[in-house]
Formats: sequence, structure tokens, C-alpha cells
Amino acid sequence: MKSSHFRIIVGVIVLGFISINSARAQESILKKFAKSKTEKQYTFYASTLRMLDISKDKNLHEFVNDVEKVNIFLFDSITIIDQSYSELSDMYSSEGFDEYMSMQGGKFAYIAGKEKGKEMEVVGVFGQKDFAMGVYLVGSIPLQKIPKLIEMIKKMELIDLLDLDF
Amino acid sequence: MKKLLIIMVAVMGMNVAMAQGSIVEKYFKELSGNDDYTKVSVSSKMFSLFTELESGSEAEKEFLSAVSKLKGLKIIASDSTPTSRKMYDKALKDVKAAGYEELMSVMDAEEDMQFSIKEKGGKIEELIMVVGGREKFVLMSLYGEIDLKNISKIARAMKVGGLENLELLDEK
Repeated sequence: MKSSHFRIIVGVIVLGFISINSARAQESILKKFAKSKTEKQYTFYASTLRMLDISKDKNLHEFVNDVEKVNIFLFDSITIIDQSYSELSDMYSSEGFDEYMSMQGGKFAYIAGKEKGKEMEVVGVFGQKDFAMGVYLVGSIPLQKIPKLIEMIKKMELIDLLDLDF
Repeated sequence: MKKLLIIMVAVMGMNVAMAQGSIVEKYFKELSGNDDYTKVSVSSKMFSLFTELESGSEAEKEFLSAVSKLKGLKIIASDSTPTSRKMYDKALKDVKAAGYEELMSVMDAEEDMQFSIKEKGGKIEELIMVVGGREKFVLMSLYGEIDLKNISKIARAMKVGGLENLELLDEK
């Protein structure tokens, strides 16, 4: 094997490790935060998301196939009161996540994402007077479909936080 | 010389970026921590989160095309502020001082509103709406490349309080 080929292979392996570790690091921001502050945690995969889709939307089923995993953390009452979940927005922004949506004042919402080729990481943090949750999603989902997926999570009747009809 | 040119272009680019939504940004900072005001920032990528359009429908395609050149939307709103009139007057003054051109204003017994735009190279790059009522105040900025013909379509499709006022631009 030529030494230049060997260097390329080693480089690809190293880059692979870096990108895997980087993805895990970003997932772990929410996981680490939620570790001692979570009342309930759910993990869904494409198959379980399809089962939970109460609207039975065919289009939704198609792109849910590309969802690798969704983590949902329902925060405990102390975290709801101290609103410490709002710190997550700064943590993810400093990790280079692009802010897609934010809301402050009474209700709190933050949705941000990072694209890596076809793969997409999206984090959502939502809070109000009596409820707060964090969502982490990874998969190769087209960006324009993300709102529909969030809408689907809303329809799971876990929460209705994105009502902006003030 | 080449480096200097690159630095100048970069600095100019930063100024343009800072100018976008700068009025609303100023109010975001001023009112941060004040729960009487809801502060919302939405990237155009997430606009469809606030619609009830059927996935893959013609209406959804039309909406996505209408928002394709927009960059985002920022709103500051309150329906229970005793200083709404003061805020409204202050916002109008700030909008005027920042060089926005008044597009339309509506005054009635319930509330007053004013739409202003910022143009660059013949293209509208920001639309500002200010609404003031008895206890209501709304300051909204829609930015990106704006086609006024599409504004009412966007306003109708998005279920965001205050945005329905943009439909008035269709009647102009």
C-alpha cells in the first residue's frame, strides 16, 4: 500500500471519529442537562413514530423513515419553576447550531439545528408556566419537513406550546 | 491592497447584517426579561410551523414559494401593557429615525398601525409593522427579499397573532 493511500485512509477514519464524537457531544448537552432534571424521558425511532402518528398522514410516514432517533425529555417541576432550561439555547448556539425559532416572555421556545451533509440534528426546548420539555432529533430529514415533524410531536398530546395566537 | 479590499467588503457585509432587524433587535434587548412582552424570532425555514396547510398541497407549495426569498420574522407583542401608547410613539420615532419609508398607516378608535419599508437597489429588504392600541403593542419586522404581492398570502397562511394586519397591504 502506498504511503499516500495509507494517510488518506487514516485521515478518513480520524475524521469519522471526530464527526461521531461531535454528534454525540451535541446530543449529550441536552442529555447531561436533563440527567438530574427529568421526570420522564422518551426515545422514539422511525417505527415508533409511525405508530404514534394519530393523523395517519402518508407524507409524514415517508419522511419519518429518515428519522434516526428522537429523544424527548419532560423536565421536572423545579426546572419548570427556575426556567434553567432556557440556558440550553446559549449552549447550543455556542456549538454552532443555527437558530430556527425562538420565543421569550411567558412561554419559552427554542428550535435550532445543524446540518452535516444529509444528516440533520435538531434540538427543541419548550417551556411554559406548568410544563417544560427538550427534544433532540437526528436523521436525514429535509429541513422544510422539520416543522411538520415538530407538529406531529405536538399532536402526540404531550404539549401544546407553540400557540402564538396572542 | 487585495487584503484591505477583502476586509472592507467583510466590514460592509457585517454592517448590512447588523442593519437587518436592528430596530426590533434593539427592542428585544430593551425588553428582555420583561414577561409582559412576547418576543418571537422565526427563520423562514420554520414559517410553515405556524401554518395549518396540508403537507404537499397546492396551498403549501404556493406558501413555500412566497416565503422562499424571505429570511425571517421578528415580533414583539403585548396585549396588556399600560404603556402601549408610549411604546407606539417611541417605535414610530425610532423607525423614522432609522430611515424607513412609511408605506401605509391606519388609524381608528381601537388601534393605530403603521407599515414602513427599507429598500435597497429597488428591492424591499425589510417591512416593519407597528401597532398600538389601548393596551396593545406590536412591533414586527419581516426581512429578506420582500415582494409586497406575496405579503397577504403569507399573512393569511400563518397563524400568528398580529400578522393578519399585513392583509391590509393588499387593499392598498
